[in-house]
Amino acid sequence: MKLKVTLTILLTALFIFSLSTGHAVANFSQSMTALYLGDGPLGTVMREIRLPRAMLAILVGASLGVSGAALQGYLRNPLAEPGLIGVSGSAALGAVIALHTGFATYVWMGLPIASFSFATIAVLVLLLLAGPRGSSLTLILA
Amino acid sequence: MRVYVRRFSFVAIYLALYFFGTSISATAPSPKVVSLNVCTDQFLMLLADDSQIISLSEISTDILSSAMAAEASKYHQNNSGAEEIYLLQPDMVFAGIYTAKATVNMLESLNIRVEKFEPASTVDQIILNMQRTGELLGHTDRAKLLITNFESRLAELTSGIKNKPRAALYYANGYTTGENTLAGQILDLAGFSNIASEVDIHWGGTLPLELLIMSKPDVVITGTTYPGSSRSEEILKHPALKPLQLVSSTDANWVCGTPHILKAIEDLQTIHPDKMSIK
Repeated sequence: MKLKVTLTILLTALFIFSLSTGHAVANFSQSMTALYLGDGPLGTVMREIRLPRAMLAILVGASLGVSGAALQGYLRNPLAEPGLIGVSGSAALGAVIALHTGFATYVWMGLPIASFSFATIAVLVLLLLAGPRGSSLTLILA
Repeated sequence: MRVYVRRFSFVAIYLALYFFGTSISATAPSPKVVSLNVCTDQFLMLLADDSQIISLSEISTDILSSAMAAEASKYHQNNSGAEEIYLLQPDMVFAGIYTAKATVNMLESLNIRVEKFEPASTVDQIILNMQRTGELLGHTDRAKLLITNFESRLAELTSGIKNKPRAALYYANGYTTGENTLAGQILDLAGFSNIASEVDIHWGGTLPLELLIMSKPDVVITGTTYPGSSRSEEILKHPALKPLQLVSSTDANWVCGTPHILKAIEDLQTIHPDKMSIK
């Protein structure tokens, strides 16, 4: 519980710190006011650049944390990562194919669609190889 | 209307020059040339006789890099390899100062005269390059006429500018160029002030998006994008740029210091408040 509270406070502090850092010259209170009220250039900077950036960082961090926890818990290995079972490589292949065929340009969300579906394919192939009675050990070896 | 007449007279001068030039060149020594650089390609096409051009560089027909891509298609193209060029037996090779050192050295050791051209980024350098090309090709009169036309048209374009709207050049990956570059010069000649100098960028460098927004330029000038998707060009579609006036203008005419920058200036001036009334 104590750890959770500490981490949440740290996350909030870093979020605010991220909002107040950037190339544009503005002090803390100026940038925070501009976030809500600014309709000049600083408002644009805060709402279109810094806020999306900070939120994206939290979302990416959260999803990485969740998938890491799931993999490491299942494989009983604190060093496990998606590369171990070939998911990242397969997703990268999907992304490259999407970029080269023009799928990424002409289809909305084409790039994420391609990489996620290739990652899913990798997982399915893996499950197929591991067999119906596969333990986590056979999964790694497959 | 006036503009069209002016343009037409420009073309007529070119044509007259062309036919007149070919008739006298028989007496003057006229070296045959291979060009290895997209900018010297254009000088060659502007000043040389057809028979003097053996071969042009590979990208001379690329519409995104070469201002004379259509004209270039009727000439042979080389891949800038020393072996290939030697077999073409040129009297002279035109190269840029940054053309592959190994190739240039090899050609020189084979006793082929290589003329290295500095990329021109100012009007004076452009004129010097035209003069030099004319002298090398034995067409000084042609070069003189080209320079006179260039100067008078430039004077016409740069006259009558009272206000200098603030503009930013903004390319893929957030790159911008300052007043010491050709693009910066074109911007200045067209009657805009460059915000790059306000953030201390005088040559080229990355302009952070935040600084671009904060400096509130009157217009943001971007390049013609390549087909397909590219992560480096995504930044030009950033929602933060929405409040600004975005113009996609830089193209092949901005690449080389040749008289084609006049076209670049003309295109840019279609959005200049002091010049819009003429159009």
